[in-house]
Amino acid sequence: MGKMPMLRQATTESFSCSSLRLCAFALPSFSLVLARSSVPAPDGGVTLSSILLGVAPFQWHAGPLSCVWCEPCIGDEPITPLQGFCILPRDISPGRCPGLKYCALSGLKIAFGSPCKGRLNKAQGSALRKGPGSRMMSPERARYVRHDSKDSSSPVRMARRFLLFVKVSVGMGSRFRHGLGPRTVPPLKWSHINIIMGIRNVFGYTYDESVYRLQRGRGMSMLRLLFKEMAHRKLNFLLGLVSVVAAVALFVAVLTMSNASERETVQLMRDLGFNVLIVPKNTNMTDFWSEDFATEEMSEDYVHKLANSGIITIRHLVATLQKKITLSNQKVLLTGVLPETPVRGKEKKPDMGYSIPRGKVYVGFELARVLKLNEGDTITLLGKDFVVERCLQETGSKDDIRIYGDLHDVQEVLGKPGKINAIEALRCLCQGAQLGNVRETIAEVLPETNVTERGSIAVARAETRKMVEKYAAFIIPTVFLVSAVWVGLLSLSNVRERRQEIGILRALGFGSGRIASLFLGKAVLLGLIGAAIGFAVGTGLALQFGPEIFRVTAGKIEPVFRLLGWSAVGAPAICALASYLPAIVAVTQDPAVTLMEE
Amino acid sequence: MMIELQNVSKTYLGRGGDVRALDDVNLSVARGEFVVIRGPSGSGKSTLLLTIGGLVRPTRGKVVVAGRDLYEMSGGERAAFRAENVGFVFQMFHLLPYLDVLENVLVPTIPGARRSAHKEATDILQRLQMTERLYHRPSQLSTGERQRVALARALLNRPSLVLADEPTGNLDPENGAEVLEHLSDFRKAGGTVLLVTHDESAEEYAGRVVLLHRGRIRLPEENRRKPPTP
Repeated sequence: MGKMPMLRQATTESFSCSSLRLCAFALPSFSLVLARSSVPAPDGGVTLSSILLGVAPFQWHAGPLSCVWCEPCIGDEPITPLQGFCILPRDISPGRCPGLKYCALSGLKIAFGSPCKGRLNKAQGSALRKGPGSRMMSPERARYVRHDSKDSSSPVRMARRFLLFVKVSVGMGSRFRHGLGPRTVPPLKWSHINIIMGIRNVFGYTYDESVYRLQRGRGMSMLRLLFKEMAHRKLNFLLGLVSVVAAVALFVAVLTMSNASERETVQLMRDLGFNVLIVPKNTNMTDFWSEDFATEEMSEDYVHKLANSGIITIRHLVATLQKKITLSNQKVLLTGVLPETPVRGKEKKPDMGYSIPRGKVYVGFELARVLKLNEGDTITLLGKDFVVERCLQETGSKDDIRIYGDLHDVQEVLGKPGKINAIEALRCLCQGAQLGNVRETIAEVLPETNVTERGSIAVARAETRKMVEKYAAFIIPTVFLVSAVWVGLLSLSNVRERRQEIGILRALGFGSGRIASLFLGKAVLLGLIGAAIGFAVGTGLALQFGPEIFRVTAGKIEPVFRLLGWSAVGAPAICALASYLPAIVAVTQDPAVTLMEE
Repeated sequence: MMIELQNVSKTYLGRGGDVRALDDVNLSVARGEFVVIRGPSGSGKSTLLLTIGGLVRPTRGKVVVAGRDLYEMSGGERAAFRAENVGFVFQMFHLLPYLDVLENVLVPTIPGARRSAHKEATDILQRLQMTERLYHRPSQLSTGERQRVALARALLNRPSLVLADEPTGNLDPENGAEVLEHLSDFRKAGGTVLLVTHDESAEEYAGRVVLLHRGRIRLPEENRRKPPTP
């Protein structure tokens, strides 16, 4: 099919939107096309419904162009749906084109684009314009656009189109704001076009119904009044917003970082291993440190007693019985290990200690090397045979000459049933746990023991974190309080500024509740908007600076979305509370005083 | 009777001494009447108007409007009554600066929104020749236009009573006459108008003129013109 027939067909068939599919229109040199969702972009363009209020379908033509009938402006003449299209070149002044509005309201296509680059001669154009069913148009007002096969989907072109769209939209809004638009219809704004088209699309209403819905949309409501007022007194609103955003951002940033800090501390402590050692009370600690085990013994029941005591500051309880023995002329630390005893009321975490099956042993690196032991070998310990389950990695500590076995096996071979000589534990820094004196706590449960805490960087870090949290616990409420006072003062100033307005609204039949809701509603909106922005800012700060501070868990710092929920509830509530007194002032204001003022 | 005041007094208490704005006022206004209240400044005209509008509680006396004793009602009931039955027009227009003309006119519909409000508002504005200014802010309007908008706002809820406080006070004679003409039209359509003014030309439209002096009606029931047609 040649160019002319296609153009002719396009022109004559463009009276209904559905014919577009048949004609295979495309508009690459026109920037944007708003189309009904029932009519897919001829070239399968991307739908960007989320732009433009998320109401109207918004299709981006990115494919090649065949042809289009361009009607840039029809001035004051009435137009008919026959035209099917209203296309505005870039240089047109949208406010002077009532046809644009008509097309929008009629659910017809609208396009913006560059001035036509017609390649048809006048005769062709004239023939085209005179096609059957087509409306006669003067040559200087009819324009034709022809396809040029540039790649219109490049990001640069798409960005240009979007910028053009913004520019034209803003320009259009501006013209109508200055009263240059059609006089008897609402100012043409993109939102109107979108609303009408959206209504048509979603509900399948007729044009009249859609216009009615639009007009209803122009009706007044409390919410509209609030938004209008906020937009009018921008400074008052922005000052309030800044304070709410600052408070929420601080709150979110501190808690997000605190989460990261806590995770990092826990990770560090786990990495450092057991840090609490419980030995029998009469243990000579000098001997203990030189031998690395206690010579005294205590009952195995102690570990169960401790696990069931309800102490939440420790977890990962491991009972051990150790003794130095000789094996093939080698000094060996025989260590019996009880699998971790679960602590009552605490979620089970992955074991930090060994869990060795009965009849099997783990052999330290140095011992395995000297005795030439391999996994699966059998060794005899004090007359009992054990299978080497695992040969451990080199640690460079006394663990290299240890043989680990199940506690009850070791108790049996050592002839000390039910006895242990140490309990190792991990001091827990989980949420809710207090870093009190763990020794005292354990001593209350196990008075016959001696508790030793191994110092660690993690503990120091945890202490620091707790200190920071203490400061935060002071600073955050203070900031919220200051913010609330600030919002309250702004609200009071707003009330004073709107005294006459309050008076006239009273006269118009607004009761106390509605007057109060003018201020409380504004405060709630302020809180909601502030919470959303504050959450984004706070999270952004935490994500930006958190990884530099918490390097171990840097990758695990992530937005804490429950904080958004708290902010969305807390900030509006605090703002409303702060505006409560101003609202009372507004309600109790005597309308007669302000209405009689000149 | 549309309005009935019985022994109404209003005293404003103040540090510099009490001010008796209304002193034992008795007044009856029938439905469909156009009553002008005149008097010097400080004579209590505005207080009288606001008292009838349910905005100033009298110290003493009874105020009955459209058969309802206003100050026997709760505040909420009074607000609802006002929204339904009373339209106010003020000298200073008191339009909301952040709303356009159409939105200003639609404000009274917020308490009791109705589907037809938008159309009614545009119809009223059309009658007041404000169609071209629907989307302009009050700051973009002339004083005459502002007063017409205020009038449209007062009339939107189809009140039975319009209380106008110096509606022509800030207007040139031509605009003033236009506003009075519209109020007269409202009266002809069956409404009641109570107009407080210094403007003697308003008397041309009035069925009755009441003079107020120091809170007291001096010439009650004085008829300067023919009684209004029902």
